[in-house]
Amino acid sequence: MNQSVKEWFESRTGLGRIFHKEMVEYRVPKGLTLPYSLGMLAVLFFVIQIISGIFVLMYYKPDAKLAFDSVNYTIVQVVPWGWFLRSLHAVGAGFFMAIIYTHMFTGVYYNAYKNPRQLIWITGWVIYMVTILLVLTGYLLPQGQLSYWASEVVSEMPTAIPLDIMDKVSLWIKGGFSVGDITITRFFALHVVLLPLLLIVLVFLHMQFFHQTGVTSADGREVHGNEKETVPFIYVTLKEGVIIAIVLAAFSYFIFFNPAPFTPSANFAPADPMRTPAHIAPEWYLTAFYEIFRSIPGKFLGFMATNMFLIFLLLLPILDTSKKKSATKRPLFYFMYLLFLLSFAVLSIEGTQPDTAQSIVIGQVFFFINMLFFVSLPVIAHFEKKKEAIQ
Amino acid sequence: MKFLRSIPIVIILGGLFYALWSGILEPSEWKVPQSAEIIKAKVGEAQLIKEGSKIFKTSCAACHSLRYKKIYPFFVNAPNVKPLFKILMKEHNGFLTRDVYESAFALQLEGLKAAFGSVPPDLSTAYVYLGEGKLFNIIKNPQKVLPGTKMPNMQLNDKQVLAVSAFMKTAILPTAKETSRRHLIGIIVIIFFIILAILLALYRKVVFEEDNIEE
Repeated sequence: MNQSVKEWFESRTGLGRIFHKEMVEYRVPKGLTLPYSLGMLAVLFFVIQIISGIFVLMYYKPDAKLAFDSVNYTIVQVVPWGWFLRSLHAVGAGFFMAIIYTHMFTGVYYNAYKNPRQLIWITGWVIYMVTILLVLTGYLLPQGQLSYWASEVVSEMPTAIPLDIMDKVSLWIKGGFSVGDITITRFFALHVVLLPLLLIVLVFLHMQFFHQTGVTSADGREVHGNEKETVPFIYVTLKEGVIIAIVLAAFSYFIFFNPAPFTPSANFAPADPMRTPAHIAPEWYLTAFYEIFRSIPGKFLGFMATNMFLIFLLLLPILDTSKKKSATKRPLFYFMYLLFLLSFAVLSIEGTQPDTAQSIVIGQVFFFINMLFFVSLPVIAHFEKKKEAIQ
Repeated sequence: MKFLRSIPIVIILGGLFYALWSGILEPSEWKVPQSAEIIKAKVGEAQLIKEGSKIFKTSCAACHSLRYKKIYPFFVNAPNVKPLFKILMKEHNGFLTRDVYESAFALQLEGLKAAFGSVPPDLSTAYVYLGEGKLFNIIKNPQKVLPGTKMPNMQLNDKQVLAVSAFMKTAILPTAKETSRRHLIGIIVIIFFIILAILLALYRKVVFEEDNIEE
């Protein structure tokens, strides 16, 4: 009976065949470590965001005068378990970004952008950009002081480019001369419809490209198609399951005990266009960019410097011409990579602090170090090639 | 060796997330005095909330609303406003959203603005965005924290200030009982995930051994 039911479904859906193809036929290297689970974790948190977002959406009101109360009163205090949904969405966004950054930095460590994986890297970069837009548009929605002023700053960003049309672009983003009701509905539509749909398509493409080229071993060897060095993917899911359960335990700690780091206190003040806060900083995942922007003299130069980080990230497949994969076998690269990580961490932390002369110097120094990593890649590759030729 | 290489990366990223999520980057400028902390511990939160409710309704609500606790300024009791206020409260189940409140009582709020320079803000979320220390000091001595403010010094003692602050906290943060309930749920959920991780790890070991799969 069971078998016939199974066959009945299989002949009509083909789901069993897909499962077999993805879980058994698809093979990954043996001995994969925690960093290889980050992609799966990112997908999990994206799903958590969608589910929690749908429930929050049922009570949220995209209106300049109602949004703040709908979040802080209706959802958190009136709706049964609303506090949980809000925490799930807010903490989930923080975890999602943390995992995306760690996934991206791990990709740099393992040189996951090199031939034949350029398209995986490029789609990953686009996912990162769309996610930033997703969090930026979502950030305005609670209509707190931080929401308002952060959106004001972001929507003014295009005007840093000295072209007349940029004023119109800024105006178009806001839907008026300042952030208001139209901006909220505009950002709301992007946040709940367009950007998530785009992200779903991009994640699908990212995974498809990843399946096509396979994964390198932790020490950078191409083992795709080598049965001896690989195992069916289903075995790895067990290991990933352990990691996912541990991350979810940590996630639960923040939801039930300490959601405050993900719901900044300054955003509990209702948005007030007439009162600029003394100190304002974006959410932590953008503070590195903010620090670069404010430490480089001149609005245009600051804007360009901020974008240089993103452009260089995209250009990694071209900048790093070394054939070696993974930092484990590239000591020079490893050293520069540590400097890159450290500079990003310092910029992110300094960006949360008030604007002082000291923070400007720190911003400039660590921006220089950050750029040094990208610029040094062709030089490192040259040295590595020379060393290989000698050997 | 491979493990050693990952240590600096874990330290940098772990340090970054710790710094960003632990709150050490946002030290509060204003603090609750030690003497007041002793009173707080001695009197207990429940008693302070009860007392604070009375003080807020008789003093602070002269100008401020606390909409999340369904408390509105004294002007709603004026004979020419009260009938409208009653109807609105009935229609909106006691909670007036900002648009309804501000449009229905625009005249009265303008009156407060003329007297104080700006409309005294709704204090429903003030406990969080000001922080306990700053809120305590504002109530105790408004001019010290907000130079030039027209908010009068209500001459409250430390215990009364603590009481108002404790009451305002209930407008936006869960009560001690509710917090304990959430913590209990949290403990259960965390234990569930830890047990799940252990069981999955054991199951993985068994499967890997049975199927002769190398780690």
